[in-house]
Amino acid sequence: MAKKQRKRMKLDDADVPLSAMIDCVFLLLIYFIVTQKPIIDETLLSCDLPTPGGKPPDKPPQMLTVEVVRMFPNPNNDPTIKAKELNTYYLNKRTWSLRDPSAVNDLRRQLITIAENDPDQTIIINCGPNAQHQKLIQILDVCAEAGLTKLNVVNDESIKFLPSDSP
Amino acid sequence: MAKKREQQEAEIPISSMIDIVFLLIIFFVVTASLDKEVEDEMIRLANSPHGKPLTKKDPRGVTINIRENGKINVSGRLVDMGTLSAILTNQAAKYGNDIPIVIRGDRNVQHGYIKKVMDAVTNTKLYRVKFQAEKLERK
Repeated sequence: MAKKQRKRMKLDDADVPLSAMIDCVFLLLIYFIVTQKPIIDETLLSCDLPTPGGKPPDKPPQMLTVEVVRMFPNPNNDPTIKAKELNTYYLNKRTWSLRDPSAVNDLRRQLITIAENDPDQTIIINCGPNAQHQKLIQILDVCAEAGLTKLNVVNDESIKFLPSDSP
Repeated sequence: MAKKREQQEAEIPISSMIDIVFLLIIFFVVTASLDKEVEDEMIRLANSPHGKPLTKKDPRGVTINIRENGKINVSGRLVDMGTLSAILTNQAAKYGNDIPIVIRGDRNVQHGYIKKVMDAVTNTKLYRVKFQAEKLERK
């Protein structure tokens, strides 16, 4: 009987401090809840860059140019910026206004038709320096949807870069 | 009596197990925060619902974050164009010219800033440039 008693005592000593452990576990739980981020699916859109110093690639005759021009409201009311440069896409000199959501769908249809005819068609995306980055991503996305893979992103040198946060 | 002893012997050593579990938790906490350092939290990416889903990242690549005001952030450090070129040259010398360069531009950053970074990449003779975006439907 005495032996049995001793054994039980020993067991009691080895008991886990449950309340302290629960404190710890709750702290960890709260830490993880606070620091967790929602999982957002991300994607990578690739494009080709011109090789420096190398010879310019042979231009196929039916190369298409999509231009993304000035998308910012005129920061300094610079009169040299023409009104037509605001919020506009051009595809082979045809113009789509970005304010009109059906215009983007129209552009999408055009690019899908191009991709059906020739998926290897090179598309040059001529992006104005003042355009918002998401407009370029939008065009790259439309091209990805159409299945076009040969995309060149170039900068439109004819438009002056006006940083929006400069005085 | 004999039955009781058997039961006691089969008990799990809880305190040592908890030690191990806590060690594992601390290990994962430390490594998880190291993994995310290349991404700038201040950037809100543009949406691209039709892009290919992100596959495993190449550890040799360089991720360049560009904030809305045009500030460039590489692995948690704000850098200027000279430093960026130095980083790219260094990385290209180490792993070759075919390493992927990921540009994480804010959705509202002007393209002129992106263009400067692209020029720096091109001048280092790197050519695999990708733009990162979120795979969300536009609402």
